[in-house]
Amino acid sequence: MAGHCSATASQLAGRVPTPVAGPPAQATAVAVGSAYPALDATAAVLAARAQTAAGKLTTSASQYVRTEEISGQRLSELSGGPGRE
Amino acid sequence: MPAVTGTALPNLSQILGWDTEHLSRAVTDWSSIAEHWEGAFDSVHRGMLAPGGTVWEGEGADTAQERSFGDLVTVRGLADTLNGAATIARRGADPLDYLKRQAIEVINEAREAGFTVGKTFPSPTPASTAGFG
Repeated sequence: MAGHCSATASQLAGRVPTPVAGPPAQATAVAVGSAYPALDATAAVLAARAQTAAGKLTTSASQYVRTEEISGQRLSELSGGPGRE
Repeated sequence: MPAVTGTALPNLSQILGWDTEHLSRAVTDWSSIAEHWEGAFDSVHRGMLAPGGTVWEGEGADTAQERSFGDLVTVRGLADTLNGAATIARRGADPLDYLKRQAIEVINEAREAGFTVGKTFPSPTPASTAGFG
């Protein structure tokens, strides 16, 4: 899942295309042209959000695995440790 | 091309050079981006519900799923706004194209009728050109 989030972040970051430049005298061309940098900025925020999720999932997965290992060790000690046979 | 500001009428070169390609392209781009953003965060949220196909439950799962759902709601709002902007661009491009064609048609008709349509159209002109500079 962390990998999926990380891949999503990469796709989001590079998705906004370069705009077609219209005549600068036309108000619509100016308005459209100004929207693309805003979209780029928004995409960067969304990508960062997805990347943060990927990081949190990676950390959670590591902690989960570590907890499992510790639990396993403790159970082994309980069942096979000295004086417990 | 000089800037067209306020209610000033465009001159001949501005009419002939009037472009709506940027609007048409914006419609395509913005709709596509909106779809991609929403799809990406929908995919992330569905993944959080069942990572690797296994239902994920517990306190950590609740936190992650609430976060991903909140993100999805936010992104859906952004996508709606972007789709709205694309609709406005589409509604702007179509009449502009139509009006440009109409203006060119009138200009051609005037020329065929023997009038001279100059670069400064439609500024005041000598009577011999009947309103066309």
